[in-house]
Amino acid sequence: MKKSLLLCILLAIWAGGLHSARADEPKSHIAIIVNKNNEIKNLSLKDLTRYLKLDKQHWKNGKKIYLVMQQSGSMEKKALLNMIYHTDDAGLKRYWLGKMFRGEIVSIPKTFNSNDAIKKFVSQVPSAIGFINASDQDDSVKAIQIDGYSPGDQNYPLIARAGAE
Amino acid sequence: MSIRQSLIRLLLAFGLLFVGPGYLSAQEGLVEEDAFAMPSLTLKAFGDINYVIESDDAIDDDANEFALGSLDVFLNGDLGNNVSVLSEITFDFESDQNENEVTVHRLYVQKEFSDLFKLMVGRYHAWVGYWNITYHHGTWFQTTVGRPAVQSRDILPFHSVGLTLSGTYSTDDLDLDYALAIANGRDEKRGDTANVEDKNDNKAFNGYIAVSPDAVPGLEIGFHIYIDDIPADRREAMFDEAGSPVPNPRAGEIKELIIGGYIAYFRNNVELIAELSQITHDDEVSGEEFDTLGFYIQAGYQLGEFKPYYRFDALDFDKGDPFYTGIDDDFEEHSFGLRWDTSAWSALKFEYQRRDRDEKKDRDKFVAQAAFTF
Repeated sequence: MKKSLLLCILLAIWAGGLHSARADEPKSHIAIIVNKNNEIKNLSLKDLTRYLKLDKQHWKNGKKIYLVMQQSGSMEKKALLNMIYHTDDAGLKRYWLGKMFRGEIVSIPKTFNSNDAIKKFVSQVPSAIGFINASDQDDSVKAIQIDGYSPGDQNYPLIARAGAE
Repeated sequence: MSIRQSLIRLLLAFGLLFVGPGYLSAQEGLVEEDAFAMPSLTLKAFGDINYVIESDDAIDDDANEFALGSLDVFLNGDLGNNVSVLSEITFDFESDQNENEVTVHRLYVQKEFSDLFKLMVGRYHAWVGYWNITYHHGTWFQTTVGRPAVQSRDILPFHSVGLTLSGTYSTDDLDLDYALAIANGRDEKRGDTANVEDKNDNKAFNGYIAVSPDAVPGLEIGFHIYIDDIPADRREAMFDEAGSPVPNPRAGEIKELIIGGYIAYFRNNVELIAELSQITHDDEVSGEEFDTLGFYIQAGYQLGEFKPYYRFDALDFDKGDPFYTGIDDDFEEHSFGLRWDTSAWSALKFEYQRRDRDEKKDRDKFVAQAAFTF
């Protein structure tokens, strides 16, 4: 009985340590960026998901969105694979291929290899939308709110944990 | 037509398309759309190769053979200003003739006005069920070796040549997809489409709606309706064994009404599809009405690279339907299989099928299939 109690206490301490360690893990917010001339200021997480999955492909002004992605392996992409697409890289490629095969999209979204490259593209294409590490955001692009929260806010929903798979 | 001739014709036909860099560049001086840029072209292919072992006591002929399935060439192009073109051309190998057949399954041009309104004209897969509009002819996409029995061009009008208005409407709680189409409809011969000539000038109407509720991620529920007049088939005179002419049961038109629905669920490694279609034929010659019912349910579960699956198929014909003469043997079929994703773009499938037929002896079939895309 004493051994069982001791084991439970040790397990509780270990689990608490894990939680604490996880809570202390470096976290980054993923900023959803659009061109500065885009009127949109806020999207619900549901609507953002629709845009990022290209289930919705037009802004309210009728312009077709131009979605750009990060390359495979980036922390930002891993975070969105987990939170938005619920799949891995290979699964996402199959998803895009399926959409193209069904005629829902014409081509697979363009991929860039850095936050700077995405920023440059989005800053120059009025209908573009992309995602970067919020710490890399600058005045060349606009980060939109998600569910009313801005990157940096406590309840901002798009969070990437360093080292998360 | 030989494979070589088919490939030459295909290359010549699409040699007019320019494979350009696309109308957007990530270099410098970007513009949203360059009116003078060349259209972009995407080319993909899908294929399958099979090994079949079949024991069919009804025809006293067992099969044990390698079989080419199909090569599906998929092209689409962005023509700018939200206009796109799509084509799907297959090279199929006929099982009883060992010959290659080339078919343009899809060829259409589409203009997107908004998410809610897209207008498409050309040849497309009719909106008659989940399988037809999701998997088309890409065997790599589908879990199983083959299509469900009801989703056969001998049963349903697979393709249409006409005009479709479609789109998506989203609310906070759901996504709603719809399509409304008007087309030439079926040709006189079962399995054929009126690609060029509408034999009876009556147009087919096709409606489709699907709902994906946010409350149940991964769930989709859809319904379809298809209304057409199948042209009379007066191509051949009918004679009895003594050589005397007999009335042609297809001498008149057949009013066709197809209604159906499906539930599809793909989430957390689970795959579940259940689909049903009822085909009602009102025959002008006999004055009788016939109802044929087709149904399947398919389930699978992804375990890493492997996905075991099961499908139950059933077809229940209303005997005497002149449009289904020769194929109207009711059956139920159980298929057990395993899909192994050997790479991101290839899969091996191993499937056993047991068909229980009402009027003939049962059939056992084993298929090993290599399906791929490139």
